[in-house]
Amino acid sequence: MIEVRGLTRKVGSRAVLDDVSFTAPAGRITGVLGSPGAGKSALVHLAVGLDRPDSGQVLLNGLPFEQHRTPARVAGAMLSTSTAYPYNTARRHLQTIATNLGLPRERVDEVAHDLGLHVTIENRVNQLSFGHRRRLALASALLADPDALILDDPTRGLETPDRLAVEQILRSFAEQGGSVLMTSRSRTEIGLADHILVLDNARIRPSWPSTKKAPGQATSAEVTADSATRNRRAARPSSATITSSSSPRPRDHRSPLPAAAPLRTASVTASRSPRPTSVSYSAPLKPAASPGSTDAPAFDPSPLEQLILTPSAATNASQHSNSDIEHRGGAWSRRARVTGPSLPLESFDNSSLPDPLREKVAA
Amino acid sequence: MSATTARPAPYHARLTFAHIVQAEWLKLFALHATRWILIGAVIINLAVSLLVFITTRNSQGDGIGADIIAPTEPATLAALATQGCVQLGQVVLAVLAVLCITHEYATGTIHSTFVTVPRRSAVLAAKAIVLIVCGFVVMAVSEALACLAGFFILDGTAVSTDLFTTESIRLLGGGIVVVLAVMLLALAFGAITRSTAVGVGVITLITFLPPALISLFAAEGASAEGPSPLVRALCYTPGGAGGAVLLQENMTDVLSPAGGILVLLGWVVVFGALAFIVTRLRRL
Repeated sequence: MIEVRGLTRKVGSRAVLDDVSFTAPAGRITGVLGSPGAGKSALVHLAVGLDRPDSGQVLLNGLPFEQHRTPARVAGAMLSTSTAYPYNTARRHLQTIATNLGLPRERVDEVAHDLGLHVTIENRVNQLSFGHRRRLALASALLADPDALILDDPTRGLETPDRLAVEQILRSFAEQGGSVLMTSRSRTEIGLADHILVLDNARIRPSWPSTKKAPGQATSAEVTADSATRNRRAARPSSATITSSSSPRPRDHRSPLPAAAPLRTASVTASRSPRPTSVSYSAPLKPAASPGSTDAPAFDPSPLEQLILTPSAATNASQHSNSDIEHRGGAWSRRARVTGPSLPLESFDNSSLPDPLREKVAA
Repeated sequence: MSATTARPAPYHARLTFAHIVQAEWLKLFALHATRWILIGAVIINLAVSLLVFITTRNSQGDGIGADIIAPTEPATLAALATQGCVQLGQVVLAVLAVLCITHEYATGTIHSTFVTVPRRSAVLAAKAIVLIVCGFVVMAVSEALACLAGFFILDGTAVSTDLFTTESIRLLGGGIVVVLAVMLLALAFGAITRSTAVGVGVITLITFLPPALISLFAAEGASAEGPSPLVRALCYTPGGAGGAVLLQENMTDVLSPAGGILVLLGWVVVFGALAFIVTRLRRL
């Protein structure tokens, strides 16, 4: 668990972070959304001891990062800038970190394989694509199998396949009970998070940015989506079973990826105080049929399911393979595991959703 | 990406100082420059030593240039070899020491290093150990090769080629100590300035320039009371103190060899402590 308590950091007279407090619980992805200069990178640097706060502290499992005996086991960090020597091979970069931590060569191979880096691991860092450099940074963070991940804009500038891959890894990590704190400047990219905080002008903003607040009405700073909802995008294409999981599971292996991502029901909940409004959708999902299967299960998706899973129109998902990812109508869809008819995007009426969720869904 | 199945955790990450030293060794040799600098240092040391031997032989015999080279006092092979190996070699190795830390700041790898090892003083200490090992090996190899060449070149001259006297061993050892001290000083300057250009510039200035200035001003300012205050001051720079260790002319008038080593160590301690403090407190 990551606890940020009254964190303040000033550069000269300007506050980069001003009395920021929040908690990133285990088993969930906490997103910090903010425009450039809002203090996101400062928050990450302070969390991993690269910077010192003027007041307040960041506690990881109850202690500041640098006070742990082997801090890399407590939290892995991925910074927004490249931290690998450009003329090193990817393997050598990972090996150096592994050596620092007393980890064997096999662990490097394992993490590289899990993150899809095994093909390019002998390439120099400056020969890697941007997406693979980000994967390398994530691999560095995951080497010691930490309890938490602290990531500065992990999906910024990534092509969609790379972005989906990183999202999948983070989702899997959280599902295994890990705590993820990620920052982003993009609402689309922060949509991965279960719990979104908005950082604006060095402070956690008291409302979702575009929420039109009625005079005198306070709104919650949080937009929460059940983690299970996100699983559909993060789940492994090869998995055949979708099971329900809304609470963190104990982490039972060292891989950043699970054998299968769980989901049986999906729900999205948004709340706004002082008058809580809750909208919830549930859709029973059944196991997808393998290609060529004769007993393809029926699926009766809710409108939200249709929107998230198959935003493209006129697609019969049952006719496609489980690992398909396609781009249609300006949106990406992963037709994985879910079979059955789909509806066009336009058919989904989201007017009943509260503002924050509507924006999130639209993104 | 590929699927992985559930399996027990076979790995246990543990941060120890030995691991940090190992990682720093890997990082140093990941640098393109490292191998070239180490090989170059040996070649340069050997080349300068050969030049010193040939000059000495000519000045004491009837070889080419003997008529224009003033005969010098009979020296020892150890003194000549040390002089040849230290003069340029210390600057070359100092460049490596500066690079060892400044390249991390330049490429951003320092973030990765300090996230993995938040105890920054341990990182700096590990770098110092790795540099000491490299510097010691380079200097030992250089001096051994130089002495080997000196046996043949200086054979038949008045130069003593006995390497097993106390004085010879002290000189050869002193040469290595001087170079290692300069390397540690260079590492400290690199850590403080974070700039390769500034670090190399400063270390060159304080090691290379003082001996030349001492030679220049020694004759002019000398009086019955001894060297001038300027020369005395210059003798307390790393370059001057190193010269005293190597028994160079003018510098031994102010500092004894042991005093020279103490002055050098003083510089290393002061700037090393400063580097530790700055590195530890620095906000990245």
